[in-house]
Amino acid sequence: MVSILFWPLLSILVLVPFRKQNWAQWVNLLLHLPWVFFLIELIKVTPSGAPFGLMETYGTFPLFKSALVLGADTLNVSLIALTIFLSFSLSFYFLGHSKISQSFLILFQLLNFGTIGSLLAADAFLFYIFWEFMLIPLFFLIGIWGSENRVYAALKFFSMTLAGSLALLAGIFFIVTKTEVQSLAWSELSRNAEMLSAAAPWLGWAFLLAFLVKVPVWPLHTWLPDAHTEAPTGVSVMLAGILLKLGVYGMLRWVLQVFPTLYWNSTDLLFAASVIGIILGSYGALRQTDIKRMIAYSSVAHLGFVVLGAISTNATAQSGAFFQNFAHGLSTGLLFLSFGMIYDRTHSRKLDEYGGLASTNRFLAFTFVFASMASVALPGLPGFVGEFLILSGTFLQKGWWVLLPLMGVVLGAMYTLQLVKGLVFGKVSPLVESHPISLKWNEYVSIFPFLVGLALLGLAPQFLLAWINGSIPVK
Amino acid sequence: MNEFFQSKIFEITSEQLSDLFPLLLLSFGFALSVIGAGLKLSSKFFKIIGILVFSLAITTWSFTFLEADSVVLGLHITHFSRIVGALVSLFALTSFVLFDVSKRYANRPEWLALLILAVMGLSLLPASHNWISFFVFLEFFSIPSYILAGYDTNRERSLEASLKYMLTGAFASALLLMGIALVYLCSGTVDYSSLQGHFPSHILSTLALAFLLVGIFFKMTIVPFHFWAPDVYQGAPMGVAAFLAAGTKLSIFVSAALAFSETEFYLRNDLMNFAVIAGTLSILVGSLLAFTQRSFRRMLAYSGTVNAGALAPLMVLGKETLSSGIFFLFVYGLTLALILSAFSSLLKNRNLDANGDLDPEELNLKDSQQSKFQSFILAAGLFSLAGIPPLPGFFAKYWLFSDLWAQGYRPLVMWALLGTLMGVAYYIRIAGKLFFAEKRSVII
Amino acid sequence: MTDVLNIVEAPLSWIILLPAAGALLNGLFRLKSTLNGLLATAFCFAAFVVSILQFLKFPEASKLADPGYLWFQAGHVKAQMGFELTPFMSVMLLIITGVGTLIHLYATSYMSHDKSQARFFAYLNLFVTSMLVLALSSDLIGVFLGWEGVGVCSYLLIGFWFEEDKNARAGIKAFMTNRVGDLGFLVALFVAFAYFGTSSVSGIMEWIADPGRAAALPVWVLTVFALAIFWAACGKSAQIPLYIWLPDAMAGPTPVSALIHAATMVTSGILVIVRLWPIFATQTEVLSVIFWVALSTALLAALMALTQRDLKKVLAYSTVSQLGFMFAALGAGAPTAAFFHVVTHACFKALLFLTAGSVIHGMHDEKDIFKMGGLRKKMPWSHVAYLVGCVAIAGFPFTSGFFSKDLILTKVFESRGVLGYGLLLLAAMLTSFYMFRSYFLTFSSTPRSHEAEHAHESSAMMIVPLMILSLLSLFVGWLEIPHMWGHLQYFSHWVESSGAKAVEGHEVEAATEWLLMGIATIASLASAFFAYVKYKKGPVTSSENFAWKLSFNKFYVDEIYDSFILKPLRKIGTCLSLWIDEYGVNGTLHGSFASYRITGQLASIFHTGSVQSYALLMLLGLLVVWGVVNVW
Repeated sequence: MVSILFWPLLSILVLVPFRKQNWAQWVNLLLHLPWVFFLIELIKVTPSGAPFGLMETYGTFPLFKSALVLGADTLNVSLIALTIFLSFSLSFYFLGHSKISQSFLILFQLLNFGTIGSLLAADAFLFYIFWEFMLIPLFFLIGIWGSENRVYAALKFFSMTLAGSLALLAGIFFIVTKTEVQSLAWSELSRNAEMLSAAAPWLGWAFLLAFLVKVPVWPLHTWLPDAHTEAPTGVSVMLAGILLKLGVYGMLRWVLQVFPTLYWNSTDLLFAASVIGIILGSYGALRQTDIKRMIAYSSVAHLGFVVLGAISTNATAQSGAFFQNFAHGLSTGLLFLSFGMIYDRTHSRKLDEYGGLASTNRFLAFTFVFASMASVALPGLPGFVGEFLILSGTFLQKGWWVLLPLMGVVLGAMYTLQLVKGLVFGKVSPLVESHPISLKWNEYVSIFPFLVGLALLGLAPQFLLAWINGSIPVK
Repeated sequence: MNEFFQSKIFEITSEQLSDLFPLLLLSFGFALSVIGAGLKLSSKFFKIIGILVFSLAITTWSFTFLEADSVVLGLHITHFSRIVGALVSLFALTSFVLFDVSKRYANRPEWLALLILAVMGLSLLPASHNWISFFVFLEFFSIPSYILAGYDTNRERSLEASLKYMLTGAFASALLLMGIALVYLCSGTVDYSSLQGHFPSHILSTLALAFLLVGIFFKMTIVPFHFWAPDVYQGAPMGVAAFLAAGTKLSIFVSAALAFSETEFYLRNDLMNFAVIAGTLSILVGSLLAFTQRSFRRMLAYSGTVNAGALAPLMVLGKETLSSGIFFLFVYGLTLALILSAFSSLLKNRNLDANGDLDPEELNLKDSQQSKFQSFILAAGLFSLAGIPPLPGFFAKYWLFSDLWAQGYRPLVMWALLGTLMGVAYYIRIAGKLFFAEKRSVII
Repeated sequence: MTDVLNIVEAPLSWIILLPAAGALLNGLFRLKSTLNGLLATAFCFAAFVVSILQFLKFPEASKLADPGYLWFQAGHVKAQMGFELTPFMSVMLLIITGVGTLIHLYATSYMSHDKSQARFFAYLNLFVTSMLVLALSSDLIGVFLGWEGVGVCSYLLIGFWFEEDKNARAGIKAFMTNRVGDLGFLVALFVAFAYFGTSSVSGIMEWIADPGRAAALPVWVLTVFALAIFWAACGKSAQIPLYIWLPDAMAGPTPVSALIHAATMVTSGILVIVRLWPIFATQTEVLSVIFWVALSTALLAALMALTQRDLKKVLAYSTVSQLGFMFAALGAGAPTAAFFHVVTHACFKALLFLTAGSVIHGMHDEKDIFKMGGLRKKMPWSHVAYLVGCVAIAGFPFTSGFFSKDLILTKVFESRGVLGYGLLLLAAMLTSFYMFRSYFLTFSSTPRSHEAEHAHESSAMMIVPLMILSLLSLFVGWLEIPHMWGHLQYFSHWVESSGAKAVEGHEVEAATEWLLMGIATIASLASAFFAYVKYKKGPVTSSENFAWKLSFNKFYVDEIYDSFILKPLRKIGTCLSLWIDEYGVNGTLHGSFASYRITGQLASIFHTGSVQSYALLMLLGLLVVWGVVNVW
């Protein structure tokens, strides 16, 4: 497990000497190959039964009652696979891209290191370190390579996420000092979970707050549209693809399995928040004129569905929620990627300046329509599988309350079709006319895995579902 | 006369000598530098002497770290005083090596002598065992630091800084002395161990404690008494500012803690309340003021106040919980030295005066392109001060806050966490300013 | 179940894979001129051949099944992507692929000069694939896959000429209305998985058949399930209140309207209800709901069609009205009658649409029938085809329309009495009136516009499908003749053997049946003659009275929807999201930041820089803190 975690650091060291841009981009691509090899090794050995089936400790810090413990089960290894998938296809997109410099790639690898670290960490203190460490590369990536309003977006993102994780830090202080818990290892915490949730009811909320800000659950989501819109394409794909899912993973791993009592009596509040998030997220997307903001708001709505599934007591909705992570990661990732390619050439995000892309570049138009159909949860594409499982699980548990999120399905179609009509169909706008888009070979190659992934997960998702069903926290 | 000489005071056994050796070494260094100054030797001589003296002191102190405590010449040499001595001389060493002080003041080489005096004063302070020696060593350190603060004689702001530091310092020491007098009045003795049981607790004793704390909190720049810090840090030469910020806080923190635990003052809850109120106030006021400062070095002064605020309660809790405070101040001292050295070389690249100052708003992308390495260090230092993992600042803050929480100061830790969040507004924004292109964002 | 089910293994998935392969090939390769069209027709024809082979297996096998593969399974939800074929569905398969091939052939020449034919035929084949998935899936969730697939294809095909904003908006309207309908299907699926534990049609049928388990179900489950399925059927088969998308769907090319909005997609609602008939049979209240909704749709659509000037709009409203007839049959508890009308309607409505297409093609895309006229001599073949279509849909004796409509009318009379029968008869009379109105305005009297003078007959490739469809619409009726005339009842055999028993209304004796048949024939002949009298010399500029305006503007239903449902919802939602997000959350964030900055500036007033004030402030601070320490 250590090899897959520290490989990004090693690839940074390898990247340092390559100051010229296209050299660095090629090296960054080649560095992904061993990473994939390590992933396959890890997948072979990952147990899918008990949570954190495979646990390895590499060193202890008695002073802070914590240890370098890495754990793996299908829950986090599947998310690692998604991270590597996104980073791999993005590294194709970066080839020959004018704005992607060596320092961008170094920060990008740092971000990967932080992501995989917080996924693998099986110790609260270690998890906290990686969780906050991710903020630094993201802050600089958005701040330096973003578009007009990037400084505001970077600082807003940084301060909101930091506020959330400081609550997590307060929770860790309480556990370390006030309770008789010997160490912060996850197994230790989950063993005396009842004692912890009895000790301080607010403790669970402290942990939960950090993840609710990251997932953007409804009231805490206003950083997402700014961060996604201002971030460069590569970063917004990673943000939408994997970083939002870390919040959900954190909720399942560090709150559901450590403070089950608290988690279950906070579900009514979270149900209301996620339903409002779905509806207001969709309406938020409906009122946007900026394309990336529209896609960002759609992520708020989609993540509302994921949280809806994550707080339900039956296994259907839980595995549906975790599967929806991948469906949303691929579909919104592809949306951001394909629009990013258009944006690289036209440099405008206003929807009314666009139109008639279908008559100038057929492949990109097809990709965009395919990705929006996936995000509208059309059956035959992964979005449907996730959303159907979530909604049928919620129906089983909440009965006719399911009609409220069901409205989200219609609203979702409304803003997505509005986006597609504005961008792809309609008369050819002067902007699209004057910037003919001819995709380079590496851009085709970077889109291809998304298309295959969406088609495969849509029609034959059982291989992934069976694999992650084993370690879903609720049986 | 000879009874005088045979009296116990001057009997020194061999291992007592080894305890005193670092101090003897420093005084020998002092003598050498004074003679050198007299002979107008080259600045390289003073640099070598300085490095030699301080590194030897650090090594001897750290080697004898684990030995048993001993009482020599009325001084209680404990492992705390040894660690303080080692760290203070380390700060002194970094302060004059990083800021090439010798080249800048080649014609007035007395700075080394003054620095050695200050270091001796600071390392003796934790060894004091009664309030009088506490006061003496405090002044022993303050006088050379007043002169050092104003050492940049051609810069008017540096003279102003030293004058302010001297006046307010004298005022605080006067109050400290008043406190000691009241302590003597109440208990009839000033020695720590004899004060243990017989310190009455009535209005007068609380007043005595209040006056005592003035002197201590003044040096720690805790809120009601922090007014001097921004002007002095802005005016004093960079090296002195770094040394003052870290060295004084460390030594005062440890010696006050030792004093309060020896005299069992820490059992009194009025002392505890005093520290908690002052601590919370300084976190809040420090964060508020640090954000609106138009000068980088004044902002660092207020961040020092915020950190001192977090330390204040630990000071009155006695010996056991000192380790986290010491580690925090050690990390803070080194980070501060790094930040200030990077800042001064950044100023040099902007061909401004190396000891000068700059409004953080004017930092921009050009700086980081000109001085790439310095801006990287500056940004890393600021992130570490803000307490973002995996930088050392985070571990220091984590240890300190968990200790505070363990001692039951939960509200204070909440304020400290809020302070970290408010820290984003100045630490992270300035670190960001260095690397983000000019387009000013809408709100911030 | 009565007879023992002889389930035979059959390669049903091949029927789906063939058009899917066609869609893929057309999507990838843009071939010269009409090659794309021919390729698509070939694949559709191959599917037709395979479905004939399956159809021939039917007398001995009672059901064909192909297990397929496990689509997804988690918790209590298990979705199997399997296929099964019941006798009546295999007939529908023939219609889908057979009429589909004819329409593909027709479209090859119709779209021969269009610049993006590859895309068109890829969509068309994709549509046929999803329709086949809808028809063949063994699980309701597979049906839903086809259900939404068909919705997307109709969205893409309606908005095919996306340059005009009008077409794109029509496409979105179709997709959104279908999606609102699909919510019903989703609710039905949730209920199925929650209470039946499975979504496979055979599984549900077993659950219903076994009395022990059926009794254990809460009473409302079956009713809600049936209503939800009916709501979805309303969305897809354009019944009130979700029919508004069908008239606007005419923005798509005519072969699309023929295939999707006449023959296949719009009938999917009826197919699903017939497959789930054992559930509907027990729910009498649901059946009456279906009947009255269907009846009002039939009447309303017929009234709207009276004054339309656009030829395709007339046919669109007539489709909505005929669908009303089919659902009325279902409401009357006669799945056979409904399915029989589905098949006959597929034939003659496809014929009418294609002829309208060739007329409009000939008239250089002029759709307004007031500008046509006298095309009898100019377009003889289209004229004959259109006449046969009108005759069939009006229900002239011995045409397919006559048999199927008459069967529906008798069944409605049996179960709903005279009132239901009377209203439906009125709708039938209106149908024949507006159809013959359009016939006379288009073909009789003299050409009324420049295009009408120079109208030319369409090419052979368009005429041949018309002729085949004309024969079909004339002779399909003979497959299900009334009992009195003989025992040629194939359709009832097909539907009953698929498990859909009709609800036993009180049988009507032969005499009344003859009487009903007579009344229906006379009614349709009379209204046709009345149309002849009114319109044989050309358009009659009738006074624009209130009734006329009401009918012409489609009873202002679209405007009512927009102003009372769509616009307010959008307004409330966007304002709410704007207020909460921008002013609420962001507002508090910026507010707290600004206050943080202002208090900082306030606090910095104390730093005057003068030493005396420092000393004073220090003393003051000391006293304050000391005071607080004492008080506390």
